[in-house]
Amino acid sequence: MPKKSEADRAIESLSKLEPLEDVPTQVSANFDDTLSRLMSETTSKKQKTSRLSGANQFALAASFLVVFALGAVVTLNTGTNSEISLVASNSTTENDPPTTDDQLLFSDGAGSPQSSSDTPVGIFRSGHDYTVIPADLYLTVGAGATWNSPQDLIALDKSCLSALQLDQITNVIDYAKLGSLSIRAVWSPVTLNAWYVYLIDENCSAIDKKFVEKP
Amino acid sequence: MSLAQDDYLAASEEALLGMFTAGDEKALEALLRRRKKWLWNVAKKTIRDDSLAEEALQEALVLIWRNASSFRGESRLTSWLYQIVTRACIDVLRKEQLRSHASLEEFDRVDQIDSSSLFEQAIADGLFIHGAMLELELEHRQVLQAIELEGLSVKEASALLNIPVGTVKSRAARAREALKQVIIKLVDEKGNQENISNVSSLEVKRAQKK
Repeated sequence: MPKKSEADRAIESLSKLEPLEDVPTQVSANFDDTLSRLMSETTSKKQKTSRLSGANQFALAASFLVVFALGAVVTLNTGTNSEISLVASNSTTENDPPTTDDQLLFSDGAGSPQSSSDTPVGIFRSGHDYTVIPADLYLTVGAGATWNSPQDLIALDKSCLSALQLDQITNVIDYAKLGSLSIRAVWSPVTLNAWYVYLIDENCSAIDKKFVEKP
Repeated sequence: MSLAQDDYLAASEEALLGMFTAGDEKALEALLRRRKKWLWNVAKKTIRDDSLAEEALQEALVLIWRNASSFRGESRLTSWLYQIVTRACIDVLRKEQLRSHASLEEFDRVDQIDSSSLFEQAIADGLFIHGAMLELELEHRQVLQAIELEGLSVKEASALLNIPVGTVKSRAARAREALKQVIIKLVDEKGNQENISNVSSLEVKRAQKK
């Protein structure tokens, strides 16, 4: 087993390992500058994407209004007013929370190592206070590594996840607490061993985003 | 909505890459800051000259940033980063030779640099062990750093890390095993290293003709 013995030798020689050379101050500063520049370039690209998406949402809302207005005219002509209020109540554009940049990118799952599954999104009611997340809570709530199907969720959960653009990337929802607040903790896998946990209040506002990794 | 700074510090490199793929660029920034010293050492040990090593480091940094979302984990992160930095080093060396009107022999010397000899050298320099350690979880890194690299006793490491002596021992054993697994994979990837010199040998030949 030559590979194993090479690895064994490496482990045995750990204590004799030469420390890495320190990065010269100027090199380090230039490295940080380049990193900041790359960060801001990426952020500005995301903002452009976000603005474009905002424009699309505006276009969608505008076309919805046109269709709605035409529908209203037709319905008024036929005298069935009840259908108007039904359509209006289904409109969510005004109540949708603002969409953040990372959610926009997150929602397409492009390039993510995770995969979608037909398994329904899991529901758990731990009642746990998410102020602190113990390392093994993922076991308790049964968090897995796939993005599950939101189809079987109750309408309230489904529309909330959809509004927050989490509907395609959720594995399990845990009904829980944040201090005295009742919340839903939405577990969304980022790798096979790690999750974002979105804490969402009863009004479907995202309160916080946490990170959990298997110990 | 972004995470707290501590979350980035505690996250493994694999998780940071996952977060970056999910749209969080701060995660990649955290990963690269963590790797800064190691990346510099790879460049410096490949090129030796400080200013050329820095030029290569800058080029590598941009390449890593632009390609990180396509990293799929087919190789260890250490191997992937190592290849990017060494390729950047070779490109910088070639540019430098063009700038300084180097002789054909000098061009040949760069053209003959191959990945396997660089790889062997990196193993000899301990770069791969350092790189493998960076792939470990925070608690494993901390305990190996304290005991193996800083030479602390188990009792001293226990006081430093504020964990019981028994936990230090068990964590150190798990950390060594985890490190060994990463190293085995890195050694395995050694056989798959492509010959870096072929990457832009055509360019060099064109330059030689001029």
